[in-house]
Amino acid sequence: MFKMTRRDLLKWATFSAGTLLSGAQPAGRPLSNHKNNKPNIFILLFDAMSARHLSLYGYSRRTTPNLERFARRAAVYHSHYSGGNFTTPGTSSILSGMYPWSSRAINLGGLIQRDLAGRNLFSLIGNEYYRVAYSQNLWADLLLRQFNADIDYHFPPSAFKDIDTSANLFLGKATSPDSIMTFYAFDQFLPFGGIKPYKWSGSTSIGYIDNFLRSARKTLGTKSVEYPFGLPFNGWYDFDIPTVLAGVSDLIGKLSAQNQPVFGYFHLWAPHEPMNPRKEFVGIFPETKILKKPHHPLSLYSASLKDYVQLYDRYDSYIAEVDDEFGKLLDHLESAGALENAYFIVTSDHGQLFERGEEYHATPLVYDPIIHIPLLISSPGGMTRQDILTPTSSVDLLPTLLNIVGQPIPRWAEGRLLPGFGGQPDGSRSIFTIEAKDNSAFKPLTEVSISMIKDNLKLIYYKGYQNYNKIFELYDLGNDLEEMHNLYKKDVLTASQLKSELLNALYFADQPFNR
Amino acid sequence: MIWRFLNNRLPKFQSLLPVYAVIVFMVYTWTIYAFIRFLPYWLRFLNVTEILAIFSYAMLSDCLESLGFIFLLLVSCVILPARFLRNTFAVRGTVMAVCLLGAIIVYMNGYAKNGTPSLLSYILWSLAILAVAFLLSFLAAKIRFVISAVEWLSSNMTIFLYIYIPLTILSLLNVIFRNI
Repeated sequence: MFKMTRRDLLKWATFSAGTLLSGAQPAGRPLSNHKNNKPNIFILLFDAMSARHLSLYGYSRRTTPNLERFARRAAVYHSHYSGGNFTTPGTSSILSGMYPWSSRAINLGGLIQRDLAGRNLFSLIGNEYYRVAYSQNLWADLLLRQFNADIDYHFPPSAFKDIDTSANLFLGKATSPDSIMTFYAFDQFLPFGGIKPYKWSGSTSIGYIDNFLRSARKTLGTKSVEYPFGLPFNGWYDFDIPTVLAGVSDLIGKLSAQNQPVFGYFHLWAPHEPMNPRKEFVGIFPETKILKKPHHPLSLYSASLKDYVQLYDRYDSYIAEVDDEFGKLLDHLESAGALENAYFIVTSDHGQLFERGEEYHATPLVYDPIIHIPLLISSPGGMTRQDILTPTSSVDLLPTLLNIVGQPIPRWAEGRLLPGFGGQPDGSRSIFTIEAKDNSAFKPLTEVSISMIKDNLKLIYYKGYQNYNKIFELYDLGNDLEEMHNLYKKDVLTASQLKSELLNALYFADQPFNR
Repeated sequence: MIWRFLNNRLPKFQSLLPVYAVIVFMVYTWTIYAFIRFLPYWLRFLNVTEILAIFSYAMLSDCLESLGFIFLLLVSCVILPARFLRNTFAVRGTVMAVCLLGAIIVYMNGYAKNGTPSLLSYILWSLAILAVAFLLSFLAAKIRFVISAVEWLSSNMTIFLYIYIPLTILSLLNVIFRNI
């Protein structure tokens, strides 16, 4: 499946020649020969990977033997939470170090507030580093496009595969001068395809042709002996995980060998739905018992326990495939010595929710499986495992990485240094997850779900939903990780204290928008 | 010689303009309609300048799309005998444009409600549209009342050229400004 694109990338990484770059992408800048002792930093993000489905964190099915292998040399964060419950807020929290209610990256396919776009890891890490970014998720790629001025080489979403026109007519150039607006126009509005809020095409002919291609894809399908459920699909193009991960693996290996230190962000679509594992991973797990949970009033679906059994099977198999490919990447990096001078980070932007009537993550709910994500950080040459149990947040990565590279931590950063990398466990700290996709990014939040985790307690606040307004739920995650016993009316004193803190935090977050 | 051939095969400008006006009206108006549907979504997180940028790209796309459509009709004129399309271009061109673009618009609405159709139904629908468009355009030029009605409609549509062409020029300027 590797074609010219990948070879070009390898050539580029090997020779770092400006001449190659100039022909490939306008925003690309060549690597320099500047040598210093700073470590490389690589973030590998697996989209929609819930910590609750990883055997690394104690899940009953052995889904992640290779992540467990990697964990032997890494700091493993057991209570790590995303800033949001879908791509835009989840990714922006990592890259901007701000909660979504501050960055205002809250909407489906939304953006960070324009005057805050300079607050990002690429900018703050500085140009001593060669900064590389790649995202298979187009919504995450939109955020990267906001940071284009601070990224030395921004790979287009289709970089590690052939552009598959069967599913997409107008996959925008990630680095064209007006790449964000051309995305909304040509990738979202004019064709039928892509992930968007309305199934409308803005153009008669383009819509008709695009829909013909999609209809052909739907009818002919991408199912095969190797892919019994069809090829993985990111809403714009089909791909296969081995190809993409091998491409990323080769690139990281080559980048690691350069003189200039490299900061690389790689955002991979899998195990995001549609969950289409290869044949060898289908049905590999024994039956698992799923706890029946009550349907939530805000659930958009009404999936049954039987549906959940199937979803668990598909999701777990898919994670197992991702883990298997990650194992190959790990082998490659270990044999190339790429981990000897690098901080290597594995995380996700959000999880998945297969309970209470919900499926996947298009939901106002913020229960544990959808916000509890993996975080593993291996240090240069690290050979020991460190388990961190204290709650941490995706906004903590920015200050931690800045501390690692010796850059000052800005005052606006909402995260803290991660324990194990200069930070101390702090049980009194509150961790937030914000879901506000239907709000205006320019006004105070009126319809919002917020999770606040403090020590082992978790308070959920639902505000502004029709027939579900100003509702609180309180759970003791230490004894009730499944969030089955709402303590809000039982532990009144604790609930009152946490409620006051959460409402205060929301009040201050809304302040700049109270005009 | 080629020029003479084309001159004999291509319709007069007076016939071409109203047909193009009908195409422009349908293509641009659909885009504006869909744009209004999308507007509440974009207003959540995009500012006015950004929304205008999307609109500009869409208008330029419509310009190319309408030119492409009229080009296809002109190619048909060259290929088909003059008596079939060239001599009655204003009427038959208009009917074909209305049928084809109208059918796509009807189809879009159906798709929005029912999801992606199967390839077979898509192909059957497309063939049916083509057949109906050819049949109606053939019949239209035979009925005097229809001829006068279609000519009245298409000539009145030229008013939209005075709106949509300046809009396209402004969009082009906006796009150039954003990309320099």
